[in-house]
Amino acid sequence: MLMAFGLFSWWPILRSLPLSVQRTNFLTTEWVGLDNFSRVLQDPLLITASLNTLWFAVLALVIGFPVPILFAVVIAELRRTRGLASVLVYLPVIFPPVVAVLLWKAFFDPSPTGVLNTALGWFGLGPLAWLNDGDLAMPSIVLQATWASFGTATIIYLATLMGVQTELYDAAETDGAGAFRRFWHVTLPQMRGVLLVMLLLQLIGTFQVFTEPYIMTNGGPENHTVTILMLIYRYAFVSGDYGRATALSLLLAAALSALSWIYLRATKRWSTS
Amino acid sequence: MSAETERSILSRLDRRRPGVRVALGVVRVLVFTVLVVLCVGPLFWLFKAATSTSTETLSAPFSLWPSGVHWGTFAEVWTKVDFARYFVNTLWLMAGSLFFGLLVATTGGYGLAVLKPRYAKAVYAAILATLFIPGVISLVSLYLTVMDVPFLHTNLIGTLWAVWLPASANAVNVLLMQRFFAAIPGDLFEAARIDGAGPFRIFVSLVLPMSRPILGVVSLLTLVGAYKEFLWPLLVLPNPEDQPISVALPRLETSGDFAQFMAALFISVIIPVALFLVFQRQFLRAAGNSGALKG
Amino acid sequence: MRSTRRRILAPAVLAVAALALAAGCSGSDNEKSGPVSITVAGMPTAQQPKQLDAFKRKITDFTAANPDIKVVGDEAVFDIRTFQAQLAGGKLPTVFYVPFTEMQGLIARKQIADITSALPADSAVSRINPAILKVTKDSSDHIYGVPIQAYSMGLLYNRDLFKKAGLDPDKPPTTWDEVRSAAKAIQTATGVQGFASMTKDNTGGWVLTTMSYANGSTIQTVDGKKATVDNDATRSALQFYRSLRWDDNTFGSNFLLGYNDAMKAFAGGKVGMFVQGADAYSMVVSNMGMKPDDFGLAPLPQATNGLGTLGGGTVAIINPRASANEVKAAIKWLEFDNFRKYSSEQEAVADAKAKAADKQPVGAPALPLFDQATTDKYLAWVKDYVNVPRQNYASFFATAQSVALVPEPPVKAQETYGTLDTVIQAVLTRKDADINALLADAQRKVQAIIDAG
Repeated sequence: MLMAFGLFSWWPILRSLPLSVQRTNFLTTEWVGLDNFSRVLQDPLLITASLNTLWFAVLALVIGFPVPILFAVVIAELRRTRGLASVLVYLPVIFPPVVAVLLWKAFFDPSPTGVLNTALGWFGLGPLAWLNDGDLAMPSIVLQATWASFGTATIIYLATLMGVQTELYDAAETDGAGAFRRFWHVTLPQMRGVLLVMLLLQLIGTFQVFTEPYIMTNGGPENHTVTILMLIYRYAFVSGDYGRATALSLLLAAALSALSWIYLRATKRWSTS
Repeated sequence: MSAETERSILSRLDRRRPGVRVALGVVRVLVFTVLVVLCVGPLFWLFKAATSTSTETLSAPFSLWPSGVHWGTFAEVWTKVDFARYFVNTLWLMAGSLFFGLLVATTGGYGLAVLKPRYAKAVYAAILATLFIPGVISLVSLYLTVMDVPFLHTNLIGTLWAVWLPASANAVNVLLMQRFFAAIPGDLFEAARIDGAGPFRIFVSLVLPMSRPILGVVSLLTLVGAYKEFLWPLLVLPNPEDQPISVALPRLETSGDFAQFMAALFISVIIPVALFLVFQRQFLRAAGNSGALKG
Repeated sequence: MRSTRRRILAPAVLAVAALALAAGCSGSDNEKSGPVSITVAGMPTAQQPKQLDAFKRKITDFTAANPDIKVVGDEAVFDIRTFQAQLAGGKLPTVFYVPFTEMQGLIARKQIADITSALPADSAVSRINPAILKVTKDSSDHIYGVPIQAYSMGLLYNRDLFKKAGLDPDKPPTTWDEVRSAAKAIQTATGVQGFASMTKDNTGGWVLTTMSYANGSTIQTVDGKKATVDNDATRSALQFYRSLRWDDNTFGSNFLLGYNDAMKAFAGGKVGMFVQGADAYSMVVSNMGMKPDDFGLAPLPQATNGLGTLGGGTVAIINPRASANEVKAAIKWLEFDNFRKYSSEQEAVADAKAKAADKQPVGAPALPLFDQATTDKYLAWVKDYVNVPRQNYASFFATAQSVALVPEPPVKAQETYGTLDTVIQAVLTRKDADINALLADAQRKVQAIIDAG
């Protein structure tokens, strides 16, 4: 156990630190100080990739955060058919990510006879260029990512809802609170802990998005879907510039840690007040 | 929990009211329609695309089998596209990940929860810390580590070890195990020790049999994780002959016939879906469990 | 406590030790003399059973002639997105194939073996066209690889669609205006998109560079010190793209196409014309099932001040970790695999006969590696076995000698291409894309790539 963690978890993390100030091709290694960092920061693609990643995160939260809550709350009310609904909700999660991404890539066929375009055609809409449209490419990817992941969050929320203290509902009902107010004042506050953690986890996850854009667009069109992790991948495994890739990894990790820390502090104050 | 005693936002009283009943019925139909279209629809379409000709699907994606069901495509995928080999690769990858994952998680959990050597606290903290450090930080350095493993100085790239071993160092699994083992009453260990059982025997004949439920959860998480992995096997298994399904599929997309590709996708998804339908309770519990740990 | 702990860990330690042993065994023993084993890339996958059989037979023949060399086939192929990882991982086969563009970078980073001293004096390598061999040499004429195949860029067209559109398949377009009107004719008559371009994984930049050459400018200076992306030739190539995409709508709807995507669309009759390596015949016809008579190939149309067409190719490199014996064996294999058919009529006929029996192309259009005389001699030897409708490429062969070959950008060609991909994607996906601004921006980026060294 110690060896597994030592070699493949702790050691690589520590190794990142010297690697980020080295330039190596495995035959010779030279120390280059902060050169890797400055080359990362000077790359014009870094800003593009950061904005794209942020945009992905925002879209993923706006679409992907409320949807599972809605599904969980409604499914919880269904009672007898709840089991069946849970199975259905979880079905997309069972799709291996690569399969889901490739399937949706086929759905996004930009020709008028593409799957989604045909469906839009029934309502007199489209055809859209989907991944081929710079403005639509990232939202399309988010659509796919949300589809693939909303089942997990729904099931977790559903499990939390089962543990909600039901006496409070009775009390609220006695006070004459309607269904929506019961949801707002009883359900949500009790789910708060889970919601906050899930929000953070989703956020951290979205900042490391790779597979979806890598397979669907490889960053195109016009770099509209290049993400930070893709940039790290390109530095390391396309250009062979491992030092620079590690430097960017560290920057991203630092940003994420700062984000988590601020988030946890902010929410702690909020939940104790 | 039976439906009689529990309640949710709506009370039993609510549910008796006709207005609520109708509304609930409408909601139920609505939810199921949405879920079927959203979650079963793609799977069904994939099946349709796999058993239609490429031209049919590409020109009229929603026509249902205009020239009959072409079952032969599946056989073609299995033999001509050599999908069988990727499938076997995937099985090996999963089996090894399961073995090493369980090995590390059980011994680790046992050490931390039961044996508790003096440095256990530090190790526990270090494992917990890896949960909070984003995985991306070590993508590149882990790759370099696998290329030249410290002390052993071997290159694991191109071998399944490169997937198995890093996957085994999974903090979530160790902590799940640790938590479960810690909850086993101490009396049982005491009794076993008085009977003369050493730590190893206690582990094998007392702890492991007792922890079947958690072993199931951890196994499931590990297997599902191994089946889904893409980026890491892509990096460490450069030779197409060694690659699992997930890495081979994007290549098949551009090299083969569309219907064959759809059939390959369908095979890749129908196996986990079938397992899911059989073991749905375990799957959903594992999903809830991982949430509980995160929470 | 401590001793028990150790015992608990024992299984884990054992497992790790076992894996160390297993991993140790799988590593090849480099310093052995006598029998030697090499792995060679380029083994066809099971999706191409005929080619696979031919490949295996070649290994059998080779082993019969060289009993002390064991050859193991490997399916690894060059992929710009994973190549560096493979190289760094030390998991390249002994013999691996890379495009010309990779060579200078590999040599500069000392990532591949110097094979100058391992080449036998009578090697066919010495007879390779010096202009081609140059890409595998460093500044002091040391050789780091063996070119095995060269191509020039041409205009691929679907002869069947030409006929359906009322165009003469034997008179392919010779100017870009003719390409444009042919694209319109095909689109109107058949509904199939008249023209296409690759746009992804650096292939877009590769094609745009080719079109820039045809319009009269390179994109880097010859010494590779300055980017010259922002030039009128590239501008008119992009304007050509824009006209076909936004004015004529003959460019289809998918603008995220990699090499295989485009080849597959062309082989499937879904594309009228596109600019591609003229050596595509074997892949499009033999692997992807296009009818031989539908495959059309024309010389790349040239503007009046056109420089010529882009030429590139494939180099065999040898894993830098290979032992001296392995390098020798690898070179033997390369000569056997690629060159023996040019040196004796008997070998040429046997090779052609076997290929024809496997329904593999004999006489497919390609850029001769050796001088014209050697090539002509070879074609005369195998003329009874030629199974490719060479008369269809008369116009291509006629200009093969007159259209100049311009090499790929000398510095960081792939990264330069990657930058240009973005420009093409912009022009094809945004109607209001500002070509001047895009080129100015690309110019800055390519210069930065060059300066980064």
